[in-house]
Amino acid sequence: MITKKILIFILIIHLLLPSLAFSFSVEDVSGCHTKKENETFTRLCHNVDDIICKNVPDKTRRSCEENDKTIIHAGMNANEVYDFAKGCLKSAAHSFISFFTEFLPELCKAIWDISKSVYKTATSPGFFNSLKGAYESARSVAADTYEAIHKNPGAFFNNIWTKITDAVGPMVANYDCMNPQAKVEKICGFISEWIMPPAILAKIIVGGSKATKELVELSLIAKVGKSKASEIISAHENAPKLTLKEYQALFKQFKLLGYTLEDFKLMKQRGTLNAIELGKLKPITTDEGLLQYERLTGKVVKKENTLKPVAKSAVAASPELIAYKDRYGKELHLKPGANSEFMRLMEEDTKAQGRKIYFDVENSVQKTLNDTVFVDKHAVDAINNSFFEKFNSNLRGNKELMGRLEGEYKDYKSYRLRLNLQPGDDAKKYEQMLADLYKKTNNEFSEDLAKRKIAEKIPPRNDGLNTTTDWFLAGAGDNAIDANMAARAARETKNNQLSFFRDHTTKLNDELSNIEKLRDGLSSNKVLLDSKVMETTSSGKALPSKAMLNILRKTKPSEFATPEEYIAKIRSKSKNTFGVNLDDDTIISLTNYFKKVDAVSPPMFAAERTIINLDQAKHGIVSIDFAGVGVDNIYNQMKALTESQLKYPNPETALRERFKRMKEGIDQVSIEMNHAKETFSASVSKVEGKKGAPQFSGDDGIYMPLDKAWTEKDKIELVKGLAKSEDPSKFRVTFVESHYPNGEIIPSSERSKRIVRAETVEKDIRAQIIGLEKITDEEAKKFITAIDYAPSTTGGVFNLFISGKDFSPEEIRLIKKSIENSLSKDQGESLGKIIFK
Amino acid sequence: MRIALFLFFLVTYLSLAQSAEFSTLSLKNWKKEELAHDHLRFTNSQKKEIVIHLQVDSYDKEHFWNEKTLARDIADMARLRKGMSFFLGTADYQIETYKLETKTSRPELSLTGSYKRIDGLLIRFAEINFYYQEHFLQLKIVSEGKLPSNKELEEIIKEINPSSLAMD
Repeated sequence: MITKKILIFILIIHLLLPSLAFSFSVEDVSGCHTKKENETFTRLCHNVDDIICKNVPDKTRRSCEENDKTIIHAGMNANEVYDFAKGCLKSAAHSFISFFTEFLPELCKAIWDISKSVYKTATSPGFFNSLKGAYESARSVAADTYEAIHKNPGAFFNNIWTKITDAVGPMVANYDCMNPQAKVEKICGFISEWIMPPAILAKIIVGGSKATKELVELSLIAKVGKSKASEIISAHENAPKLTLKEYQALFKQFKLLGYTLEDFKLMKQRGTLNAIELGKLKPITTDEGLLQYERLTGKVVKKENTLKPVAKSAVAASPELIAYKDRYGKELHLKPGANSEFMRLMEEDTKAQGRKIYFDVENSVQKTLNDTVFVDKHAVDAINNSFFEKFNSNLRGNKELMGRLEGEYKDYKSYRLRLNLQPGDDAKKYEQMLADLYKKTNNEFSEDLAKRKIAEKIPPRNDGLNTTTDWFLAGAGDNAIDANMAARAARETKNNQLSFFRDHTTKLNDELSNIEKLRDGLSSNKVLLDSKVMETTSSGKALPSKAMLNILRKTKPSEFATPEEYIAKIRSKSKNTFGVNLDDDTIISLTNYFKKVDAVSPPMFAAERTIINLDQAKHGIVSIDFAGVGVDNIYNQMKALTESQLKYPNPETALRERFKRMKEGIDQVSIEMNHAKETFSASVSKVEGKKGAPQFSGDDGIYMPLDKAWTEKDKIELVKGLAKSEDPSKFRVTFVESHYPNGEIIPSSERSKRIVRAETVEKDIRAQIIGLEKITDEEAKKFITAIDYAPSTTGGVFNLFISGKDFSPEEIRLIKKSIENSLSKDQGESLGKIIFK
Repeated sequence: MRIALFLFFLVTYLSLAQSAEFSTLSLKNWKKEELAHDHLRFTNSQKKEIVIHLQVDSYDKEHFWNEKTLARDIADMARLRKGMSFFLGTADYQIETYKLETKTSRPELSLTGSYKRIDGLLIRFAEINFYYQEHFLQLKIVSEGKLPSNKELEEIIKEINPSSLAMD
């Protein structure tokens, strides 16, 4: 209990003093380390961190090194905890002054300025709508705060810590997971947005050094020693000062060029603020600006969205989950051809008479489980297997239902049924049976998760994911799409009940109409049309361009700590692509429109799931990913919605017509993808000199060379062949070796990871070279970028093959730089060669 | 013309000569501490329960006070301060009186109120914000007992002489 309190104490210390982690000297850091008996910190970094830091995106997540400095855990004994706290307090004292007096006030002022404009547009009349008196209040409360601190510093800080623990306790752990800069931004952002405007922090502060001095005098920071503290305070007080105004004005100029406050602070520390005349500085989005940035900050620029390997979840590492995966490792397969038959019957039912009931149950949290809970595809597969095994067993135990079952469909995340009712059957009775079947299965599944101690290992979340009966949601309707839409509508209700399409028609119809209204509103924005963020289609209606959809699709709100950061990211990406600075309202409308259409996308049906066994590759792997399929799908759905605003006799017919058109849009993309698959297969055969047979699964494909590994010439020949197609950019080709350079076989699971890594590098490169003042979107369609990856146990060598376009020297330079940025040298990745053909 | 020019320079010189820097402000019988370049604190050994804070900051001219919406704006500001104060060890924050003077070239907003400090002690405060072109000067009196009388307050203001300060 005491340890827990101390843990909270330390976390709060770090919450309040986020800068300490990056202002440590070597000597300081040593104070934060405890003895590493039993490798406690290693365990900490690899296990505990993965639980409490699971929601923190890689780019803002602390490193293990930072982790060592910032957390204690239950495995430490009392002395270790004490040593740790002592060391951290010592370090805290060192950074206390500069943090409060220099860094935080500036940061908060900047954030307040930004948040002010957000409130103006984003809030309805209320608390933040009136900004009158904000600065006066900041000053006024600063005086009160000073007096409170002055009177009783101990009570004051205890009070703050208690309040913060109570109020933001659940967030503390996540803050602690962040790297120092992210932590400061998050904390300060939170405080300035919701609690206090700038100067309050600037003045908690209350002169900073003064407060610190008092704390030292009162032995509140006793461990640092009075003389040392006085020395620090004195050094600070004697240092040349920039006024807040001067400091902020200067920062604003750098900020306009893309520098962060951290950069600014770093430059100040390095004494490089004036190393280049302000007038000669270029935005860091330009090459020259980037070089200047590196010179001034001393940082080596890496592409910010370079993906780091995802850490394995602690839940996934638990013995219980290993046992669970073992128990449910086997996927349930329906009899061969079941899916094709189901799809045939679906089609047939559109023309035939007779009452049918379709049922659809799906894992509605598949992606979240994959990305943030288990971070282990096999674990999520086991979850699905468990549910579907129980479902299948319960279904087969119900003779009456089985008597009407004519059609079953199953894929990795959903199970669908088709009941063919007979004349005289009471439809309600069968609906009730399906509802009971679902509920029974759901309860059994949930109880099993609890019994096997999986559910308890999932840390508390605020997205409802801890309720395991909400994972699999079910719907029913007269056809497969209706049933699926009903299942998706259940995401709103989540009550362990079967959801029926008929109960949602009005709402869904309204939703589709609202989507169109939203699009109409966007269409009237001339800036969007002029900048090509929106483009007019053949039907005369304007839609977001595919380039914009690509931005919306790839920028996921879940990857950002706040909505503001998410909006800022979309803004910067669209500025980079279209040269237009979108305002908050427009971005919100665009993202809403995208999300709403995505939410009503018709389900995908695949005849059979193809399982590609990468173990079989003896001579390397040729992987193909058909790029842009997701964007094409949603674009066609949007287009279909613009074309289906016709009058229908009743809402249900109108709704069905709209879904039908959207599905036709998706089908069209599938047709085009199949055509691309044929092109790929033909190109492979040409290289092999005989019929090669790539295996495809969805929008991915693998070819395993038959008799010998492909030479560089072979690979280039394939790339050149694909470059001749109508849209070479659709082919994301990667070549990955099946053996390490020492001849050792690369294990199957590792192979798939390396393919993903190669694909990520390819995506990364294209993201960097395509955009405004770079290669245009139109030009980008003309060439293919392929990665040839020779993995080593850590990292490996990457070659880049490009074909389909003649590049200018400037473009070539850009491409070279982009691949260098995309590779993680610290992970052992290096560039081999770049070949333009 | 010459005379006019002379008078202009004279007035400018006199106004500059008479204007005072914020940091040089002092109050007779009050001990001054410079907490920051824009924040002064005054204490008086004879009046231990009272502390005076003088601060300077810029303000948002686009959102300035006006009589029509003053009541609502003050109520909003009180809520804002309550929100701020919650995390800073105070409770029951209240603005009890307010007055806006806009007739002069330098508007003034006066407030009085109270709150409870962490130890439950009732604190009273009086605050006057003097607005200049770009900045405002805030005089804040914090008291653990009674607030100074209006007369005493006037004397303090007279001594500060806000109109003589070089603020912009």
